[in-house]
Amino acid sequence: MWISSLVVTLPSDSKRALAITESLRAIAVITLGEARGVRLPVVIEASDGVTSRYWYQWIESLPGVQHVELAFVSFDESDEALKIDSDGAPSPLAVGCGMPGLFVGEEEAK
Amino acid sequence: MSANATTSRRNFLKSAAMAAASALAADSVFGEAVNPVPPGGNELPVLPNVTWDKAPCRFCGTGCHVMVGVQDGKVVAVTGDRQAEVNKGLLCVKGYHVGMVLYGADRLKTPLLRKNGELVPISWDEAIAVIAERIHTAPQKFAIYGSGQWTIPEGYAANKFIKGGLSNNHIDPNARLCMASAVTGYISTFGVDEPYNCYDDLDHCDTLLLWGNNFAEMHPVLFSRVVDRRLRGESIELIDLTTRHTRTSQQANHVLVMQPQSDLAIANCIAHQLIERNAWDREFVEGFCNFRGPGTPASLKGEPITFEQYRAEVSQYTIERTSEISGLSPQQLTLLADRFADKSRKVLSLWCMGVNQHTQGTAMNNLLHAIHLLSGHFGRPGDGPQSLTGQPSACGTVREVGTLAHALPGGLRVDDEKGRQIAEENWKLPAGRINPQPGYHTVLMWEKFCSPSDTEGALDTLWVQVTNPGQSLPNLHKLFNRKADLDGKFLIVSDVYPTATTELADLILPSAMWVEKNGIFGNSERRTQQWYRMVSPPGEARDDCWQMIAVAHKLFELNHEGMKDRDGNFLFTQRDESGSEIPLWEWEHYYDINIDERLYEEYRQFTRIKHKDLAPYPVLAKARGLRWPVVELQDGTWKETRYRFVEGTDPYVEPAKRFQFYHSVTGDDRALIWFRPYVVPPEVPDEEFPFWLDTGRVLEHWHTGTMTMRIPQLQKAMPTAYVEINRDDASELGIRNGDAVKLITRRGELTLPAWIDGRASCPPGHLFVPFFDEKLLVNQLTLEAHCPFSKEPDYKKCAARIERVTL
Ligand code: SF4
Repeated sequence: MWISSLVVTLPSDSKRALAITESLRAIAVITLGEARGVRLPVVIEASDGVTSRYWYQWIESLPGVQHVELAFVSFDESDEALKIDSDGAPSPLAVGCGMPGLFVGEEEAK
Repeated sequence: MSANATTSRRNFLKSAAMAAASALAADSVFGEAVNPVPPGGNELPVLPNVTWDKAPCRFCGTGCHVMVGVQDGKVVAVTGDRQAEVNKGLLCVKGYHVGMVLYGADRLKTPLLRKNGELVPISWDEAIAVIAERIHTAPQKFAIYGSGQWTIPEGYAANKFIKGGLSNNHIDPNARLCMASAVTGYISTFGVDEPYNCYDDLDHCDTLLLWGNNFAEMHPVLFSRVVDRRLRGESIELIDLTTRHTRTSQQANHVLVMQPQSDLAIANCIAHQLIERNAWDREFVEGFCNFRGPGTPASLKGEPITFEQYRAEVSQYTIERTSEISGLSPQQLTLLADRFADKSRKVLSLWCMGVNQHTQGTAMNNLLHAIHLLSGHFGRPGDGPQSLTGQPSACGTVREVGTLAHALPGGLRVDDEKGRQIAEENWKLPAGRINPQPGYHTVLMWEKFCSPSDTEGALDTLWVQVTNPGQSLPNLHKLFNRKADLDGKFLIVSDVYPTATTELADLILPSAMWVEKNGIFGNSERRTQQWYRMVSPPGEARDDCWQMIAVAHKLFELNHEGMKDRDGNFLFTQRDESGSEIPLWEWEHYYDINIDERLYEEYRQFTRIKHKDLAPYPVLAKARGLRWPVVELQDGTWKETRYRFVEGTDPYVEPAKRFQFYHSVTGDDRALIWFRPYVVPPEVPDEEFPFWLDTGRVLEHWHTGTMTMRIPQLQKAMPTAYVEINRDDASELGIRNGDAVKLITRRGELTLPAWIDGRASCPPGHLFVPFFDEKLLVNQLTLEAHCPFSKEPDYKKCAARIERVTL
């Protein structure tokens, strides 16, 4: 399971912003947060990195979207792609985006 | 994991993800006084048994800082460092994943020697002895090919070993391929290398003019500073002067698509317009500049010219003629001239590989400085010309340490007697030890290595560290692959993973990387950044610097005179507090002291010569990097410099001077305004090869992809190279998206998938291929023609043909 979050910058025109918000709300794997002005937090749940990226690019391509910033990426141990080290590298290796307190390892999830 | 645990984990991750995005949505990261870092920096997450320490990101020249979380001897987490001015906690997609770069499954863990065509494991003792023996037998046939990813102490040790120990100057770095033109541009304009300004300009400019620079993908965190300003409601105009539409173009107010190489004409046209309109800054120019022409024949030094001569030269670049050369409309050229003519705006020019990887790279650098000096758009925050680098320590290790074939540390040169004397004194060498003849620059070095041993000046043993020339050199068939057919050649490669270069290696040395060793980098804005070793390297991998010192000591044991200083001591002798020599060449003792600190402090004495003073190691260890010159204040604190040559910020500018170019070429504290003409590139499209071929990088991968292609997330995001082609060209050739196509140049051919209107888009007649993919080596096709002064090759333009592959 891949969980990532983004900040989508909406257009200042409220009608267009609403249209984008509604498009996003219609997608089951996307959860919307509370917008701060034109900046809308969004969480994507996807089965793998490729699907996650597909949604990222789809959002980016929506007419009127000004900018998309990645805020958080995490991925699950069960993902084949993570079998990266024969020496027992940490898995999952959690990576955050530079905002405070966002590191997720197996221990915290329990 | 049970179903309940899975659900709870997913919910936990979702809420963490939402918290991250909400925090980011609420914050304006680069804004002033927004989201201040709490005293003590308690922004790090509390994770059980995880310790955190700072390091610069391993990848690009931006020099973002990360905080690295370590648990049980492994890197388990990475976050952007909020205390770092460069990135204020942000990272790009490569930076998020930088911790994983240590843990690729195929890390090299033991030395491998090719015996009867097979690579077989050997001991370190044998590996070191084999290298020392080769060098001892023919020291002048030996060369080192290094890197802008070497740490400063690594590069310094290699430089001292070969120039001070072997009296051989055949050392050059991969940075020759990416920023050598910026070096010659700065030196010929200001008399000393490296930008006078810094990233703060991004926070202050009104117009950001990108010269052939896909800023959004290549320096994404710096680009965020610009986007962030816009999100805060500031008006910042972005002008993208480019040969193809990129992600940067998507954010630009004006996208000016020019013909390759026409940047020379455009810059001259701007200068002509400034003079025609009487909009040049007479006071600044008369006070602080001289004029210079290329000379006959054109040279790096050129010859003095008057303003009237300069005016006559640039007057050839009328709007009409420049429009013909560049393909820009008269309105677009006028727009550029308008911005430089307007002194109320702050104009920042940025460039990177588009300008540097250019057969007229030095000239183009000269011209960018010229239009800023002529217009007076210089010296205020946000108002000036600035080059960016691609590698994390191209500035620190290459430009400052002087790991180039002609250079010595601190901006000194081997062909200058005084420079040699200073180096010999600092290194305690007998007088005359350093060879006055510059060594081979990169292209020549590989030509000489790929020539039969009995050829004049041929090299037989080449040691590559921290780089992958088997993928990144231009015209690979000529400059690299030929080695396979030659007898007597011995290629040594120190690296962390198998690469296109190790394919032909005779000896492979497994190296430690990034936080597996102590290190110091120097980024694009003169910022020197230190970190400590945090985890152990895998298997028998060892530090590159140790490898160099161990070989030096083996030569010392073989009684090689060059490995002794003038008192007969080993060149790299270090002593403990009791005065006993520490056997650094024995791995078990290498970390008995912090050798990085010792080498850095030895190197630091060179840095004051050209006013590039670095901070003492303990000061650096506490900072998130400091921009040189760093000087000590009366109260004992250390102060960095944001703007050189500018009174009030540069401690070396004398009072009441306003601007002082104190290393001026002309010795009168003035910078040079150069005229350099437009020159047709050495290879242009024709009937047989009708397309321009451009190569470069993509957001997800760093350089040859040896690290980022081993990070599953990045590999999956961008798994293969492709050729970007214009939609109309594709339809005319019957090419559809994803079709296999054959790309052919005079030097080779390559089959790869076509991408039409993908992430970026090319104008008609133009193709683009990224070079990160080791399975699709586009540099088999590129041209090794290079700038006559910087010797930097042009990867951005050669002639190509494209054909659909019929299966
Ligand atoms: S912009 Fe460069 S230095 Fe910064 S995180 Fe990305 S790759 Fe690393």
